[in-house]
Amino acid sequence: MPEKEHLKIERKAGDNKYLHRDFHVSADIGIGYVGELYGDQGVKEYLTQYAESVHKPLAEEVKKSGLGVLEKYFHDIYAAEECEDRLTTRISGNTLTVSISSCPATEFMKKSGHTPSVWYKQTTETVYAVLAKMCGLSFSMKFYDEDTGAAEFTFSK
Amino acid sequence: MVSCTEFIPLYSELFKFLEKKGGKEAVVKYWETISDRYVEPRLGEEIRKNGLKGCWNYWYKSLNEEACEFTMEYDEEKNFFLIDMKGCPSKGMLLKRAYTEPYKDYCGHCDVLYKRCAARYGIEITCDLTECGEAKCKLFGRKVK
Repeated sequence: MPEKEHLKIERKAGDNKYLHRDFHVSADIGIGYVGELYGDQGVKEYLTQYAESVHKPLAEEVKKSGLGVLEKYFHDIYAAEECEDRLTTRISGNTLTVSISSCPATEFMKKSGHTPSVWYKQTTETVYAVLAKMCGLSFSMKFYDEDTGAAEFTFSK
Repeated sequence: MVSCTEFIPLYSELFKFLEKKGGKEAVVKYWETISDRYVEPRLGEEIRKNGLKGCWNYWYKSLNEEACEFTMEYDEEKNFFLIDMKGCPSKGMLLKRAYTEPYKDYCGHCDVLYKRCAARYGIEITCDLTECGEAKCKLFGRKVK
C-alpha cells in the first residue's frame, strides 16, 4: 500500500518576488463584468474611481516635481512586470511621450487562453486620462493596438 | 495597463463600485461569478484531478507568486489541508494605503470564491477571518464525500 502523503511548507514574505501574472486575467474579468452589466459608461466610472483613489499620491508628486515622476512610474511598473524593454519614454519640452511595443498583460492573458475584453483598453485610455487630469496635464492617446496592446500616448503641460 | 502589482487596489475598488451600484448582494454575486469563471478552471480542475491535494497544487503556485508569508500543510491520512496566512500581501497592501479605504469586507471574497468551487468536488472549505484586520487568516479544507 503506498505511503500517505504529508506535505508542509513555510514561507516568509521576502522569500519570493511579488509577481502573480494571473491577476491580469482577474482584472480583465472584473472589467468585463462591469462592462456587461453597466456598459462603456460603467467601465469608465469604475476605472475613474480606481484612478482617483489609487493614484492620488502619484498625482501629488507629479504636480510637485514634474513629468520625470510620471516617467519613473512607467519604468517602475514595466520593471515590476519584467518587461522594461517594451517601454520607451521621452520628455521633450512640456510633453512626456510613452511608447509600448507590446503589452505584457495582453500577451499573458492570450497565452493563458483568456481573450481580453473589449473594455481592456480602458485600463490605458481611461486610467491615464484621469491620472493626467489629477496631475493638471492633458492626455492624448496616439494609438492603441487591441491585438498586442502596443500603444503610444502623451502627457503634456 | 494596470500592472498585476496594482491589481489588489483595482479589485478592492471594484467591490466598492459594485456595492454602490447594487448593495452587498451585487458584490456577492460578483464573487460567485468570478468563482465560476476564474477559480473553477484552476482550483476546480486541480481538485477534480487530484482530490484534496489539488488544493495544495493550486495554492502552492498562487501563494508563492503573491509573496505571502504562510505555512501550508496537506495531510492525506488525516484528511486535511491548511493555510495559515501570517502575512497576506493583498490585505497588507490595502492596509498600508492610508489615503484610500479598502472595501470593508475585502477578505470576504476568499470565503465565497473557494468554498463554492471546492464544494462541487466534495471538499469542504472553511475560513477563519477573525484576524483579517491584521492581514492574517486561516483556510481549512477536508474531503467530506
